[in-house]
Amino acid sequence: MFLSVLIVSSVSFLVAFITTRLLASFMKSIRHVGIDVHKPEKPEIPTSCGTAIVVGVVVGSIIALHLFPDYKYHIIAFMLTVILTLLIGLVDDFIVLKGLVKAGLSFLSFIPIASLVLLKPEVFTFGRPEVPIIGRLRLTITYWLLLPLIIAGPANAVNMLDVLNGVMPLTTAMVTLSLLISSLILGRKIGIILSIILLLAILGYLPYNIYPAKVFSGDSGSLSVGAAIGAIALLAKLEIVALVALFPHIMNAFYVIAFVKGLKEHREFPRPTRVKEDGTIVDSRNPKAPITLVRLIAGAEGAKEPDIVKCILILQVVAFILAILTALLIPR
Amino acid sequence: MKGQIVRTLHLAMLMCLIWASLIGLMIFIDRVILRVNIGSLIVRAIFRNGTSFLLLAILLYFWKWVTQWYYNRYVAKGRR
Repeated sequence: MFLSVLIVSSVSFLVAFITTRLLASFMKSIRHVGIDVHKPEKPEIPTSCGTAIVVGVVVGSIIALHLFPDYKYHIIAFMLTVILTLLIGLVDDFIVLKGLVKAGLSFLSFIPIASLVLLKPEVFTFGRPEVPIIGRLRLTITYWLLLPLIIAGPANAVNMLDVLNGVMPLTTAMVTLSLLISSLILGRKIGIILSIILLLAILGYLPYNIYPAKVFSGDSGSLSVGAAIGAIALLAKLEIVALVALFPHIMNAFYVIAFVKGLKEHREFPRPTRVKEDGTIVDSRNPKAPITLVRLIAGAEGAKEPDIVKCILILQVVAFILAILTALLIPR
Repeated sequence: MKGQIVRTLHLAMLMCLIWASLIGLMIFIDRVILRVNIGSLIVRAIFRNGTSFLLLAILLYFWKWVTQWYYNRYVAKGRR
């Protein structure tokens, strides 16, 4: 098991690392770039390069299919979920979609796992969520109705926090690490396999996106990484652990939805922050702009981009500890 | 930077409070609300789901209220 996991993780890391470089050159050549608004010089950065994470995940998963044949249906469902979300993200990157349309489309990513349950019920069925202290929650029909949210929720929440250099790969790597450790604690083999594939693919991409970013993930990258986290949570039955590990993302998404009263694309409401000439990010003080995590941290006095990223990481470390605590409290 | 760290730690405390409240709420729903027995199946389902979602909505509303209060009290009034 250890050697197989080592092979799969090394491949996903290397593929993501190499593909990011190739994608960056390609996106630059076709002028598919985004402006880094938090830098005083406003550089143009190649975008949609988060696709490299998906390429790493897919190649790693194909190898895992051969190394772990007992879980081939789980791995196929995981792979299809990530690919479907990537396609939705790519459409959004090239043709900008409205917030509600994007969120609605991301619900489609639930189809591969739902198909697995319908076609192979002897392999995987939806159970009931496992909750700390009490074990399986006595929710059945209500839980099943909420299931599509387990993929669409993390996908959109991760996408909404992907606003500063390095935030998306750094935070999602920690979320995936918490899923990996929780899978080890609770003995979920499929969770270990899928988490390590995703974690190493994210780490392969990380050096390019960290401050100062050479590439942007785009909606394609952030949506598919979020969907991958949701798919792991569902397939390894770690829904509550994932919910806790994603607290900073959920916090940010909840604030945006609660304060703008609906699912809206960031272009549809005033910016919550503004950038000073020296690159300091400050609260825009616009009462119509939503309260976001970055706005709460930056405040009226403002902060540089890397400092805000460090603060978000502190929050992610706390969420990581809470997620592990949640896994430890689940009765075995 | 000190202000940002302090606010981050406040947000982390809020996160811990929400985590504890969420687990407490789930235990309360499982141990109390889902054990209430009402004869009619439909009335029982409406009572159980309605009460559970109402409690969750109250928790979310509390979260939003605390954030708004915190923003007005500590973030918006900072040094410019």
